[in-house]
Amino acid sequence: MKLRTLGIAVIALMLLSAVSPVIAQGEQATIDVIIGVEDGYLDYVPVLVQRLGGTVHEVWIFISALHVTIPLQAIDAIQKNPNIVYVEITGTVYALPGNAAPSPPGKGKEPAPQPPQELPWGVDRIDAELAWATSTGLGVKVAVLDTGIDYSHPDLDDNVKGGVSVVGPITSTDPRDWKDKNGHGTHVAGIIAAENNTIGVVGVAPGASLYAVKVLNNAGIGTYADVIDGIEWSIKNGMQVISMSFGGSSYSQALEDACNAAYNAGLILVAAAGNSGDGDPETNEVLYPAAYASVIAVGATDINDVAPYWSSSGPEVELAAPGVDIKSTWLDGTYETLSGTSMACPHVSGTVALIWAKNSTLTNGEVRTLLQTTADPLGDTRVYGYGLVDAEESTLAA
Amino acid sequence: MEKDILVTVQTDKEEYEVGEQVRMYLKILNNGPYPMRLDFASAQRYDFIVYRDKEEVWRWSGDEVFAMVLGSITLKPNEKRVYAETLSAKEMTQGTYKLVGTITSRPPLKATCTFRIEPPTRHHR
Repeated sequence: MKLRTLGIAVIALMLLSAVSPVIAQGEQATIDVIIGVEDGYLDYVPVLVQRLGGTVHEVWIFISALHVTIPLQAIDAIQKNPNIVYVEITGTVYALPGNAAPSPPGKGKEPAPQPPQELPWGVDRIDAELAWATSTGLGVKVAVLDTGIDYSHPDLDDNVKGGVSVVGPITSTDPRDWKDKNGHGTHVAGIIAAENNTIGVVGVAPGASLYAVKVLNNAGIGTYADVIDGIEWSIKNGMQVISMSFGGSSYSQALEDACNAAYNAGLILVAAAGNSGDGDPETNEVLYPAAYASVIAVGATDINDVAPYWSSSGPEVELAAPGVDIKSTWLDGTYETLSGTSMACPHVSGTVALIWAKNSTLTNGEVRTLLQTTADPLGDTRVYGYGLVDAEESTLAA
Repeated sequence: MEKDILVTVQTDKEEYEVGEQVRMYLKILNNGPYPMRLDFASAQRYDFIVYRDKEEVWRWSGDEVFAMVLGSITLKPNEKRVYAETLSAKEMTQGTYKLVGTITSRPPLKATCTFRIEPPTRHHR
């Protein structure tokens, strides 16, 4: 699965062999890589990179790694350096503007008419509403790493407390930059903490504080480097829960280090197991970051508590949660019904908020154990993990 | 039904010099008389994979994560979509490469083409 790391080995080999001399004199063939650095050498390696003719884009102190562009010829020197732990290729890709863009949001400046509040079946199924007498997740900070959040949605606006966009080279806290233009992040945010009012829907933890951490572009696609940026921002800004409704198929040491750093800092990380299931529980399809040990991988279930064939299976699946035909908030004050492990993940993120608001002295490890021991077993652990998350029981036991 | 969907992949040139950027285009066209719906398991709609001697050397999606929500696109008769990416890591060395473009629907739709990387022509001075 170390696709990228292997890839670079192949390339380096090709370079070292007879092919290398074909690179033209003075031609600046470069490559974009993440370099993992041994502890204590984070000051020295940027100097080395610059001496080799490279450019440093980002220094991630929290995972002791750098995001750099280096001349292709320098890759061998980098890889042989004893202070460098790993080198991973990152794809800097340029999508055509508007290419894979979702259907554009309606221009409607007029507020959408609001339907009376309903209890979505997923919130009902995990008995979140039965926990609200004890806890609504009040004040627990949940970072939604996604396409942003439409903070003006009338069923979310009171709960969105801040945000940032780390898409591309720029980090911006300007709300215009992290306002959702896709809908996915707004949908996920509503499952976690849509307000308990008279309109629309209600989330698992309607008292929780939402932070939009935009790591996915407006087509719902992001790079591993931007996800690492989002995790770093979450640690630095005191987030308690990181909700990640996305996945990729390549292993990355840098991304695993980032998740471990967040977990070691006391945060809980929850991620979508993936939608790459083939209906065979014996095959492994859990995506990253969900597959890392420091991350809770969540599979999807339908209204009959059965996993759809597309919910990824594997030994890393830790919990199951509703993920089929889930109604939640959408752009421009509207609501949508969507399916995916993207929808299952925030049911667990919201439950963590309920637990922590009830008992803030619990460590992340204790919260995780509580989720596992109170879950309702549904069968094959490779599909359902410990079972269906139980918001009421886990909160009452906290 | 299958032949009513045309999927083609191509690069902007057939030959490149080492160090050049390879621009890739994946087109899907509904060539049939009825609207055609394609279902997807995530926000991913396509992929580009480059092989050399049957060994995968580059995959566009390798450094990407995707929103894990089911989705679909519907193409009206004669409607087409074009997805384009640039192989920007300039690590391609001399040789012949196979490019596989995939519409990552269930089931996936694939097309292939080849391109060559040549040594750079001698510059003067």
